[in-house]
Amino acid sequence: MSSLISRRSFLKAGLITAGTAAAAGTGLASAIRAADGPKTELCTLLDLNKCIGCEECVRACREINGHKFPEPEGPPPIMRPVERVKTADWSSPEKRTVTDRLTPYNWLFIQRARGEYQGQSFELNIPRRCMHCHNAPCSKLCPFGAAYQLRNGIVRIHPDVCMGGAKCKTICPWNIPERQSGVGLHLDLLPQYAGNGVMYKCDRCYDRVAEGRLPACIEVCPESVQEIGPRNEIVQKARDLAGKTSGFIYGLEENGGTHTIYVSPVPFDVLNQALRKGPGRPQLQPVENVMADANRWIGALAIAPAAGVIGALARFKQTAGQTQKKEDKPS
Amino acid sequence: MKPHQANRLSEWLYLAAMAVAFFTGFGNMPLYQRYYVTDLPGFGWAANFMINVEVHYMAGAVLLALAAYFIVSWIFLRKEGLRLSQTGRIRAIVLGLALLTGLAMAVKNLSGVVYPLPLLIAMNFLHMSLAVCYLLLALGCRIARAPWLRKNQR
Repeated sequence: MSSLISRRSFLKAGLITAGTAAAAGTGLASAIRAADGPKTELCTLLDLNKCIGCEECVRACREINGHKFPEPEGPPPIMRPVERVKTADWSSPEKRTVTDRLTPYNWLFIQRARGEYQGQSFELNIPRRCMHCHNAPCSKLCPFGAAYQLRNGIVRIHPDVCMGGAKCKTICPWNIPERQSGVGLHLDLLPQYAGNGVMYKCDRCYDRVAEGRLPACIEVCPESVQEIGPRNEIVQKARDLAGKTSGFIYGLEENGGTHTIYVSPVPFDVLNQALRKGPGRPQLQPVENVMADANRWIGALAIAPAAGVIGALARFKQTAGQTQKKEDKPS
Repeated sequence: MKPHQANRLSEWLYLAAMAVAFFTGFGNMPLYQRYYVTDLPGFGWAANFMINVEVHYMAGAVLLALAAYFIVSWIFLRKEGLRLSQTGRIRAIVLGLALLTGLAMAVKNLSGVVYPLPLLIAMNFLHMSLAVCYLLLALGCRIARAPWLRKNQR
């Protein structure tokens, strides 16, 4: 799709028509429609009992999605103000090979958890990537519409629209998206003063899914750790599996519900303690619905016009009453 | 409340809500932290995108209420021979569209509502461009002392 809309063509069309006509008239609309897939929300179930940490999924993800990875044409520009804006360059040959955390070139990694639970030691491997939230704050609050959700629940960041401001990373409860500086639309605008590259993360192989194929990580897994299907079916399977194995569920309620559900034999608070966390290595804590507070204000937006109408009617009724009184008063 | 007091109150509410809406609107882009705005005393909250969006909604609610208030008032005032001036009409259309696109963006943020990418981009850019257009128009009209209303000459 990147070849269908270059940065320049998007910019040109967007500025001329403020987006509307451009979006309908270029290849953008048809390309997205084609990739939009079925309306059914797809969800994945990851059975952590099965994962042996072989990293076949990691390799397949890198191979299949390699053509989507950033290819900077030179070093990133010096960002201003220098002391405030950090560039992130993962494009060197050494950095591109990093597989033990999320990077713009590694959208899935295996997070290892070792510890003790109920007197027994455990060692679990957890495939980590974007959770593809049901009401993803990254897609809801991206100021440019670069992060967006497909009808099948996949959350994507469009590399031709993203400015690399990393708001998506800041508001993501797991801080999943990773920045590559020196690429993207901002280079054509004010490269040093606005934007800072492009944010990258798992797109659940949206292009393969649109063709009715499985995401690469699911297809290659020798242990069938993951399965994908309609969310209601996967939720039921997760509950059944957790019931059968006395397991614990993560991702069902987190951030108001996600399209990635883990079932583990060890509680997630114990797993979270055992994880190596930090940049590119997300946590496994319970997560409140990030959008809930903001969305409560929708009620105020709905009521506001009615309040205005009532206020105006009251004012003019009062004015009419005062005029009437004046007229009734004998001079 | 006397009519002139109501006018004064609505004007102050309009100016305050506009200022807050513009500040939080620009704050939806990751600019304030980069450009030290959040370092200013009392502006630390602007670094929090979620607070920013909530305050933006509050200002939006006040502006929607005022828009409805002024539309109804305008209907009454028409009977008294007052009409929207040329610049008043342009401002009303631009502001109305900015509010409507803002509402559409708020609806988009609800759980289960998914806009296709072209519509999403269009809404983002329309809302932003209309708001900036209105800001420039409003400032221009204030400097030129162009009134919203005029007396019907016929």
